[in-house]
Amino acid sequence: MGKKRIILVLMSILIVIGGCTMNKKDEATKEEKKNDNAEIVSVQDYTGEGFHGEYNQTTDRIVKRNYEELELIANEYMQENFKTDVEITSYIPLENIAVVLFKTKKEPVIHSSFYVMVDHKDRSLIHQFNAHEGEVEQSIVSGLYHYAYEEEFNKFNEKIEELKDKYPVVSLTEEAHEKTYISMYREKNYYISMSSLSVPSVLDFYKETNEVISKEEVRTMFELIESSEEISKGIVIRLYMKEAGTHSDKKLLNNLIDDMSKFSFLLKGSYTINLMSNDVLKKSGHGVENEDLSIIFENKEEK
Amino acid sequence: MAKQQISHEDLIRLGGDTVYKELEIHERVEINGKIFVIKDIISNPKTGLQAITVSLDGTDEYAVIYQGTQPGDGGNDYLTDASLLTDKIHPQLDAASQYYNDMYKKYGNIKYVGGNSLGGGLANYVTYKNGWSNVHSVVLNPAIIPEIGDVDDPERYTNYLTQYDPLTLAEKGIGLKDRIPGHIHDLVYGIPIFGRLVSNHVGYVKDDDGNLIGVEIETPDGQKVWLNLQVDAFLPVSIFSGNILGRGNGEKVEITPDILALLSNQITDKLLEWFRQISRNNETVSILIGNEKNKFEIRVDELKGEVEAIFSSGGMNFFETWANVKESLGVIGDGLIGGMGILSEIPKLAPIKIPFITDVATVLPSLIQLIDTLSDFFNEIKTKHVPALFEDVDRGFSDGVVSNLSKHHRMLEGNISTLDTKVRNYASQIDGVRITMVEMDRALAAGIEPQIIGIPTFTNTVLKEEKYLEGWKALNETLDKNYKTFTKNIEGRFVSLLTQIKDKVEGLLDIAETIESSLNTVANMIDIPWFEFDDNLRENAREFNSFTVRPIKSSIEGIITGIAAMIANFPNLLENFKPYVKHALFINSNYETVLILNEYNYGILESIYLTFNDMQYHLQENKAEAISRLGNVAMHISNDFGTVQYQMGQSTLTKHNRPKKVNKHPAFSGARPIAT
Repeated sequence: MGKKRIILVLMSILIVIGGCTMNKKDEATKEEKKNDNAEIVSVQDYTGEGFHGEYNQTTDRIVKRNYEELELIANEYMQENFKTDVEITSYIPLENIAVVLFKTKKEPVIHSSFYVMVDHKDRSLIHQFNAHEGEVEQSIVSGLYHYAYEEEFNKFNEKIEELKDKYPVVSLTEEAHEKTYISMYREKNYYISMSSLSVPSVLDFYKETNEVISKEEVRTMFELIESSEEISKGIVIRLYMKEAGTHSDKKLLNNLIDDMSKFSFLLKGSYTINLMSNDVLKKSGHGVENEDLSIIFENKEEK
Repeated sequence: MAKQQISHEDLIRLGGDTVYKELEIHERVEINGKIFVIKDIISNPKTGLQAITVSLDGTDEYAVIYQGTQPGDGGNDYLTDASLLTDKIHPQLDAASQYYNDMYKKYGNIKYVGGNSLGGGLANYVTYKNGWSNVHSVVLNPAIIPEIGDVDDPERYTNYLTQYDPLTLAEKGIGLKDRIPGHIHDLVYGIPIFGRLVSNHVGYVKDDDGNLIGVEIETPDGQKVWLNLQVDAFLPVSIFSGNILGRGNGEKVEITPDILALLSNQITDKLLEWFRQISRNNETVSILIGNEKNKFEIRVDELKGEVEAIFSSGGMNFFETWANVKESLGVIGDGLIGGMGILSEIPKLAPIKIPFITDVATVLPSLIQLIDTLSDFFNEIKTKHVPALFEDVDRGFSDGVVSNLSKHHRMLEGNISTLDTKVRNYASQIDGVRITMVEMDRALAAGIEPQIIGIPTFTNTVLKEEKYLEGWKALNETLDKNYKTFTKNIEGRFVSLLTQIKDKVEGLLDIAETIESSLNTVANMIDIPWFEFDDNLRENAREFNSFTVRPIKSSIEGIITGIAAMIANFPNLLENFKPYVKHALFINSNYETVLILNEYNYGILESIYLTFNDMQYHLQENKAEAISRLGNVAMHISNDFGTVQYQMGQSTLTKHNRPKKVNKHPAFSGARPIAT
């Protein structure tokens, strides 16, 4: 037991009348789920457990036993495509796959993820690196962008910390942040999204460089691109209500936006604050109810 | 390059893949080399609605994409699924429409809604409800929507239905296909084996958490074949107009040297690559058949064992399905018991008349018992009726089926290679014409008489005819005959059990109705002196009615409609699933792989056929003779592909209809950029 099965829908009334789900959890898993009924948890208690889907013990065991192969799959792919070795930071064992979170050994450190299929019958991993279109590439270029403007972003982060002191808001716990770091450049307080299709030269540069990449080099590349066109990127500050049970408060969000817009910040992009309720859904790490608004920095015009 | 637009392929991918990912707002995701920005995410635990709003980066094009049925959301989606059969509107449908309106207010014109399965049903419903906004839905294998009658503007709905989607087969089987509103576009995609049910439905091979994974087919003798089963790759797109082919080619496009360059590139990069894949698969097929040659005497016995195994365990199990039904009954039972709970809170002496309500606890067990009886009947089917599917099949095998297939595929290899040469020549002819056009322009500009070179000609190498499949066809007919007998044999008992189940479910409906009206009484009661009510009682009753009892009621009605439709259309329903059962008879043998590869090749050939057909349409009758000739060559090639596709179809177990000539159909405009 402990294996989700694809069921034959032919005779199923449910499917005949319009259903879609063809997965069936067997009794054992269902029991487990009932006991662990909290799909919603306060952000302060959220550890990243339950992120992406339901924990699967069999997958976990298979991955543990084949850990060396997992490292091999990750390194082969990343070495061949991006000339870097990687270190696996954690993995999420799901029904028939594992989502594998890793970081690069090449500097600057890039975090991303891929997934491997797990064969429960043969108790083995299928030797293939699977990733969503452009996702690893996005992790790389947004990571490089942060690296290029690290000082600016450090100040940006300090400002967010100030807001967290001033208002009843918090961010993800360190543990939850690490366990949910699957894509883009992320910190506890914010993330940067940028597709490599917007900055192909930066990605090519990363692919071709073996040694440590200097900040100045990448910064120059980004500046060169941005001298002719704006790079589409989203920078989102992600905060949660501090008090248990509280919903995302519009007035509070406006205050946060006001404070933030007075901050002197010159990097171009679309900036947003996403204020989420204190209760979060384990599967996504999102609040059960959220509000977001864009930040327009008042100094924007100066540049 | 024309300005980017959201294409149907993008929408199919968004609805079948992206919407199931763990996303963040303002995250950029890449689809078919384009950047989409996630503008909004909704996940409402109360109604079960899960959706995203995306924009194509750098444009003002928006789309709202709805998720399909998800396990583990408290049964909401299942209940919505069931209620779709009625004319009642489940809260999730209204929530979907509300969400669309919210997003419209926020972002302005939202051009598309999309989704698959339940998500597709939601998108179609939203399109129906919001005709004022001129929104279009583009969906894959949608669930039906509640009875609304004919829609006025069918062109606002594009439904892609894949040929082996179990949901579509079931909807068609019980006569509900007309409850899918608007245009229907059948896609030759999928493989009729039970192991592929999920991907046949969702259009992608994915794990349960929505990650795309590849398909590796490993044959019993260790050959490995990778198949691309991403449905958006199977959407045949016009190189000229960007429209989805199969329902007309749209306006003729002006032929420029740039278009010709694109054409010849597409032929070399895409079409020939597909063709190489077909050729490789066909070689594998030949090898597999060769390996099977000496084993056919023992084959049938082995197969019987395998089939028994497939019907009782492993990846697919008739019986477990009913556990799912039971799970839904549990949700219904809990809901009704909850309603009775609220009613029990009414103070004993309050002057409110609540009618007698049959205890749910007495109805449910007998219903569950019936479902168990049905499970037992499946067991009987397995031991008694399934083996009969093999009747006379032994004879079929020894009648030289193996050598039939072997010769047939060698013949196909020859035809594929002939066509390969033709297509290559064609690509260089296109290049020739393109160069001529450029030269002529240049000469004219310089005032010199242009030199005309190389008007394309066509050597009609005749393809070899199909003539080897006598034994195979006989075998196929035997299987069809056996299946018919099988259907007849199980129909009586099945229908009688279903009828009994229907009666019991109708009993549940009575209970639900009584609870609903009683809760209504409570919700509307006025203050009565000396009786102290819990302040929340009225509100609770009202809420419980709206969010629990009424949806449950319409789900029960849906289940009744569904069972009734099954009873009325049982043979038809079973007929629709025949390809699955026939393929199951070859489980774990090399034949299974052969059939899978042939089905797969057939699907690709459909796309190539339509593409050349489209070339013919756009190139023929051009004022430039050379271009018209290119059109004529395209016509010959397209006919040849039709022939090869037909031949490929002959060595499958399913009845394939050759597509009708596409040009005759009305113009159809899918949203795709004109690729120039």
